Amino acid sequence: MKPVWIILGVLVLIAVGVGGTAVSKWNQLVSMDTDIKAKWAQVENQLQRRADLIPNLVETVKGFAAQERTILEAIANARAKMAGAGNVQERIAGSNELSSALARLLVVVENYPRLKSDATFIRLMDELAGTENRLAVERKRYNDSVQVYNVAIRQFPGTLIASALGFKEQPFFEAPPAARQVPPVKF
Amino acid sequence: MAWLGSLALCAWLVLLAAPGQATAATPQVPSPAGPVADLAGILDAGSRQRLLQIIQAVRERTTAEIAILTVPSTAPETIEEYSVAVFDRWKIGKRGQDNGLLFLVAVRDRRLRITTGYGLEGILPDGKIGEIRDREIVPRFRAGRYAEGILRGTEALASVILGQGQDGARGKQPAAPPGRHRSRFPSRSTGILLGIFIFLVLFSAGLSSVVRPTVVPVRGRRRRGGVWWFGSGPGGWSSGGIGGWSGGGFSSGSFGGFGGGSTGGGGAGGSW
Repeated sequence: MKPVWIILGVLVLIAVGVGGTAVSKWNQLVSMDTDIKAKWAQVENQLQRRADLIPNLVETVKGFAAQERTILEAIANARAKMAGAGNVQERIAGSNELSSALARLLVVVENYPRLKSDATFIRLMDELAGTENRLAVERKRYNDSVQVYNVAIRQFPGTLIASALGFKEQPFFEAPPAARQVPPVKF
Repeated sequence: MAWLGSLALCAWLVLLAAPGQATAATPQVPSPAGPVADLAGILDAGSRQRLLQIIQAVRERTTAEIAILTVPSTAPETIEEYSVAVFDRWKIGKRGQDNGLLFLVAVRDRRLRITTGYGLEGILPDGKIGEIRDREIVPRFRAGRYAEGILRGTEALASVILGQGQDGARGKQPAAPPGRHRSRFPSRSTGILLGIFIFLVLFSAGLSSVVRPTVVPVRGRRRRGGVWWFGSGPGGWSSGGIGGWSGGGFSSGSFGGFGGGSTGGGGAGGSW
């Protein structure tokens, strides 16, 4: 056999190996990207769930503590901002604003013993606490997926595929420290 | 020239095999030992027996699974994080229906948490669980009657599940929380994509293991062995990653194990 055939054979095998790797890497990135979208959909569900709870909460608080207008307005504004948010980054920012407004409300509530012992309010707080916890769970699952993906598109050889095919880094859902705590339910 | 090519291929494969998966830290939780795990030692034999009967009855009539866990403390995690970690590890509830429930009591922390699987959120909304907590559990816990509180709480939870479960916990779930059923679809399609991905990776791993011995014989037996080992790298790496991801529900506990359910962190808790 002539050496030229050996060299050609080796080159073909390398091409096949490289091609196979590229295809599998590409598929891997696609599945990761889809996974992130699915996880984000779960985060969205919980953001929506929380947004749905807020009008009730605001009404209930108004009944006992109407003078806390600034906080109630901040909550309503943050909710409206979230509803108008277009992309993931804006949703995250709006969500964090809403979380901090809710945290302030919880501090203020301490001054209203009648509100704190109101049955509707207690149920709402349980729902809200449960939703915050769901949000924390889905946020963590989303961030875990984003982390694996962001590493994959920056590592070799994933980075070649990612830059060639336009896979971009996805944002983490970083929650402010205050929002990380589930609102306490006191008895 | 040929040796240059094979060297490049070797370098490529070594790079491929290099481990690169960063895994997030997960809290240490006990392995599943049965539906009632009293690690804090607050249950007497009678209550334990009664709890097992209730759990058995619920499981037989509705397929829903209840797990009770008592621990001294969940530190350094919060009880919410700990509950979800336990739920994720034990996989309480039937796979696909996600109708599991975890009743966790951290005695020294004086905190409790009842966590529902996705499928029970409709029957047992957080507010309802909070009601049971306030009415049945917390007053007894405050008086130090832990076993009684757990028993009454579990009875109340079980009767809600049984009451709803009789007309079919399967199909009908009144006031289901927004989204979960909508969002089952993407996660299923993710599974399919993952399946395709596994196939392709295995395929390409198989391909490269066919490729390599043909390339390297010149280098001799020892070297071929080495390259062969690297060749198994991508396959081994990806199957490890995926296994952890999709989470096979084959628990190896000494009891039958839970059914493979999952939670989204719903439920209610509090301190006493």
